[in-house]
Amino acid sequence: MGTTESLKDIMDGLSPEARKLVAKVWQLEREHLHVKNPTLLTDEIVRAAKELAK
Amino acid sequence: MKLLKLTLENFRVFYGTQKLDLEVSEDKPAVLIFGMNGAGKTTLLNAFTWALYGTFSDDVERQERVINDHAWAQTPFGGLVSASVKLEFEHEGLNFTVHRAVTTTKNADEQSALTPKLTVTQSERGASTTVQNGQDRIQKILPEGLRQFFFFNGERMERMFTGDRTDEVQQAIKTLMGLEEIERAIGTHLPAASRKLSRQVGSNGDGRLQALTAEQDRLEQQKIDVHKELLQLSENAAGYEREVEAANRALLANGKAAPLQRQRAKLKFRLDELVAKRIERQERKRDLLAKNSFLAFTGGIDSTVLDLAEGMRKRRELPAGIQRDYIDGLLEDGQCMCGRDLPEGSEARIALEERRYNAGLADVESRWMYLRGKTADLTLARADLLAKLRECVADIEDIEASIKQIDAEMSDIARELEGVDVMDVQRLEERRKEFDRKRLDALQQHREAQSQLTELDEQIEKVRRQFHSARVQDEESKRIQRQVLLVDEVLDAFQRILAVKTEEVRQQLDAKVKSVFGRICIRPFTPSLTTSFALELVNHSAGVAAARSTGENQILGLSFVGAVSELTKETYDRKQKATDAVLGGGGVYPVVMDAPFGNLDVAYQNDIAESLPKLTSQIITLLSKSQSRGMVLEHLGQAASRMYVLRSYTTNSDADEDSITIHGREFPYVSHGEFNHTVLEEVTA
Repeated sequence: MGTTESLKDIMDGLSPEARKLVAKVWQLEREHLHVKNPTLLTDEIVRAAKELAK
Repeated sequence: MKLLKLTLENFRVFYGTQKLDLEVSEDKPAVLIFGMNGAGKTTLLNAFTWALYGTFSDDVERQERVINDHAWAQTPFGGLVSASVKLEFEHEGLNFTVHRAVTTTKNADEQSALTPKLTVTQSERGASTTVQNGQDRIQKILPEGLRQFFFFNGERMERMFTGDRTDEVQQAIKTLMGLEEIERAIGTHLPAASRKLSRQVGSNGDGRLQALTAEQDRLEQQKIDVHKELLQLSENAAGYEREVEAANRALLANGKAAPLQRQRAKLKFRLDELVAKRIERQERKRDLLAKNSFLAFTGGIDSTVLDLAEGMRKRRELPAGIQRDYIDGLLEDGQCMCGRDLPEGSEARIALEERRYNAGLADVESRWMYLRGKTADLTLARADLLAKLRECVADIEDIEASIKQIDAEMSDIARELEGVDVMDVQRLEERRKEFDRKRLDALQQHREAQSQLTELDEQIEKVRRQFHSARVQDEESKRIQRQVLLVDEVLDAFQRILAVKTEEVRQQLDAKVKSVFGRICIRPFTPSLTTSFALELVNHSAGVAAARSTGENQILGLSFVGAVSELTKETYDRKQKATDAVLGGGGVYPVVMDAPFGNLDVAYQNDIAESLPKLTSQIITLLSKSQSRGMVLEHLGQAASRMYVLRSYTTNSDADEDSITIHGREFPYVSHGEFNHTVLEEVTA
């Protein structure tokens, strides 16, 4: 794999909005994990992105 | 996942309702279940997986007979009959009830395969709801790919790491460790969100952004097509590889059998020759008898006739040869050859007429002479016939002895060749080559498609960068550009997070497997989890891949189970304490194992019995009497919260009733009954 960066390095390198969106996407994905094709999930990510980058 | 209770209803060997309480305390994580061979240990193990996934393991015979035979027999034609398994468990603070059942109207003596109905109920703080997509929910709690690691038969454990299961295992571990959600975000939802935002640049928006979005859509469509092709090619290559492996196996088997096959062919050729020769000899014998068998009945008569003729010849009773027609001429002329007249009634004429009578006997004498010669031939012919018949019979006996010898040799070879799918080696070799060529072609095409995919990704990336950096005039387009940039930043972050976390999980799992394996295995072997999550065993004294015995594979399997259990538990514990939003996955999982010691010897059995309770927080172990002796029972008994005996009832009155001794007390193990079935009985102190 040869990767030397850590999770913290990745998170620290993100913009504040991106950090929030990472957490939001992760939460949405976990909530919908037991559904094969969650129809509304993409829209929810779009909504969150619009909210964070007005 | 903590197992709470298993309830069986007319499920296979279990008649009526049988309950298994599975709750354990923290310091005693084991539930021990003892049962003789055939009592239903494998059925019980399969009851868990049937409830969760609706399928049985391959070693379960007559899988269509889900309903208990006695319950089936008791049901009248046209009556309803059913079987079910209910598994209650707790997972991440929620209580689940998984109920899988088959119900049918009996209309035949034999059961046929039925489709079970699954109901999953989830309850929280007293409120209970039915989970709509129950199978998906179960799949996320404990992926079926990991079933072999949490519900397994120790005797079949060595098969865990054989075959092409790496992808399945890798995917299942990712699900358990919370990496699947990252993959879904990367693979589906974030790119979809990015494209959706890009398309929101309206017709009045920035033309450059619109063009770039259209270009990306075109590239994405191409990517979907190439991806489909890739999947098909992978499938083809895997199929061809399976064919090559099958041909290799057949070649190996046939290779070992080749000298035997050659010998068998040689014998068969010789046998055919002998059979033909036997037929030819039998026909010859038949022919000899048909043509000459009368000789057998003339024995003695010919010598009597010869003696008689010889006697007559010696006594001169056979007249000399005078021609009768010459005398007839004299009588007709009326004058004898001496010149005397031969009037009717004269003495001379009467004498000549007597001579004429005697002259007829000359033919008789000639026939006698001829017969004497022929009779001598008959004796010779009889002797010859006898010699020829003896020769035929001797030949036939020799041939039959040889046939019997060849039959015996061919029988030996047939026994040695039993189980070998005998095929023509040349045809097999051609088949192997053909599929190997197809496999290589498919792999080449796969590589080309992958390069195409990489190229498309690069082009898409370029288009995205152009989209991010395009100078945009109107405010609405600028806003959308910012939002797309944000989603793409998150997508890039998730890709890096996945790489980091996958490697982290692999390293942790690798360390755990090494630690658990080292505790059990005495040989200088070290397990290693490759970057593709394949488990290897290295002989560290020789620095080469270890030649794994069945026992080592079993220990490796147990170590992997222990490692996965420990790692998921640690991750879960860390997650409970942390507030870190990006920490996912983990959990507490039970292990249900039948015959945990497989074919291991006693020393390993003791070590494993000591290690098992430390593997995970709940371990259900199914054991036979022979697997639960001495130190093994002591170690496991100390760690057991509950113990059960699978009491077998048999209709065979000749079978001895039996009991099992647990902690110094006798418990019925085999009893006589009105029908064959098994009952779960809890061992109480």
